[in-house]
Amino acid sequence: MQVRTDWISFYDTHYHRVVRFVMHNGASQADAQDAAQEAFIESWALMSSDPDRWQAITGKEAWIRAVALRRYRRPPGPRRRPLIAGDEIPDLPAPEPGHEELTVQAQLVLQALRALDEEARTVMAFDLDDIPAADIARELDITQQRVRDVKKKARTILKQELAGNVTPGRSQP
Amino acid sequence: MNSHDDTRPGEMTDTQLDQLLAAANRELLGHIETTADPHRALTAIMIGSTQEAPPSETATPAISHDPDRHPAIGMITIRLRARDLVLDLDSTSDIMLNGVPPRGLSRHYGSHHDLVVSRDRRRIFAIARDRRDARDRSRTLGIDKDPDNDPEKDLALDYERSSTWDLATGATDRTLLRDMAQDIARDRRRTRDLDSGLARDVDSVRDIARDIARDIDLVHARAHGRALGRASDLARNLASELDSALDHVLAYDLARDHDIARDFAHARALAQDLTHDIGFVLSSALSLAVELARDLDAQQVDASGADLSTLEIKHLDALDRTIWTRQTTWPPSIADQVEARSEEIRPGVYQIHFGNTSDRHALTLV
Repeated sequence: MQVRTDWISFYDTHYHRVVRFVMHNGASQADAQDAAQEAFIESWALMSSDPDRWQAITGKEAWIRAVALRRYRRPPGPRRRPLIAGDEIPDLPAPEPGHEELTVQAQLVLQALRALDEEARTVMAFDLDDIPAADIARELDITQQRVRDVKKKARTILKQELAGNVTPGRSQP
Repeated sequence: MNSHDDTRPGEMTDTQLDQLLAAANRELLGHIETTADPHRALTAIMIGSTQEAPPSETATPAISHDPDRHPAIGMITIRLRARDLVLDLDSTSDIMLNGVPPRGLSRHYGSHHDLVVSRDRRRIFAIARDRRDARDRSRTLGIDKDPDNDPEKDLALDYERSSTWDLATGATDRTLLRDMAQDIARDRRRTRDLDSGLARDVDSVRDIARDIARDIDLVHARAHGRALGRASDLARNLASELDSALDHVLAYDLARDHDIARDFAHARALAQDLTHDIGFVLSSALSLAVELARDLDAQQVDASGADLSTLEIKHLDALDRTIWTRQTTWPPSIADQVEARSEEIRPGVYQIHFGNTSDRHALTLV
């Protein structure tokens, strides 16, 4: 009973954040919601069928994001075409930010993240959600040193992009 | 996020980058929270999980998994099924606690207990032979000719009355033993069938409890009401208790496997112990079911605009405190009673009240 209650609490806390995480990885909001939903379906099924195995997962926050990302990155179909660097970005909204429109800042950051290569974008997306380096390394199957190195280079590129130095299609050295 | 300074001329500082990323992060999350409905997603998750569940064998199907179906339908259906569950458990539990064995189990075992007083088949044989001799003496004394006047007849007749065997044919001892074994076997088969019946009953009630628990989860997901979490827990505890009851019933196999001719007294005692244990577990399950029904009744049900016309509402008190409007469609058979029991709480909005009226029981059943 407690496992189920904890899962619902976990869902409440992380659903929107997982959607945001997948959007940071280049997905549209609709695709990100689909991916997040599929990830939570998978986690629910695991929790229901094998509660012990579910509870044994360390770093569930990182795990659910990794699952959502894998769901998003399945072979693209009409519904799942990811946005890539260079795609036309919709016109920026009027200066007054409101709840209905995505803010200018948020759009600029999303655009800047798309300038990174896939690995860097993913590391940064994890980092923006305050996921520890150890958990990032485990989910991406890389070393923690690699996580730190990728993040450092990614931040360098982001500083350049967000300072107005836009170069579409630029990849990480 | 990092805050070390690693700045080139004209570039942002790390601090500026961190601030910008944090602000954009918050804004994006706020936008997602405003535009993405987590409850709808959670409903889809629950639907996906319940559609993979094995089919229930209960007579009443689970509530529809159609996400567009009015939530009031789900809540009312769950309340109705909880009431059915309480009634089923009440009758079963009452039978067990009053010492009545499952469908006369102990009675059938006991009918031969007086005969089978020993594990020694020779003694049984001797008893049967004595009774045959007594019958012969009665015939020698001319009982058949003058049954009313011979005092020794009484002795022989008393001896016959004390026996449960029919000695009229003068059967041999071997035949008597064979007859006894056949009687025991017949009663064992009958008992086994009765045991199976009880097991089926408990199994059925357990399935109802599981269906209720699953349906509560579905309604909980839609309404996102934490108050239903306790009802969900109660339903699952109830299903667990009924699992235990079923295990006890199935333990009757132990009694059935005994060689009754040799160990009848032990089998009977085991049956009585199991009867008591099952009664206790069912009583506990009944308490949980009552608590569950009360918990569900405490949930607010808003049936405004709902089409309830196809619901089979056997227990009208399940509608107590339900809110409705003129756009709500009730089953034709109860619409008048709903009107009579409702008060207008706001313009155009009504609430059903059954309260504590003396004729509530009459109203309860349609």
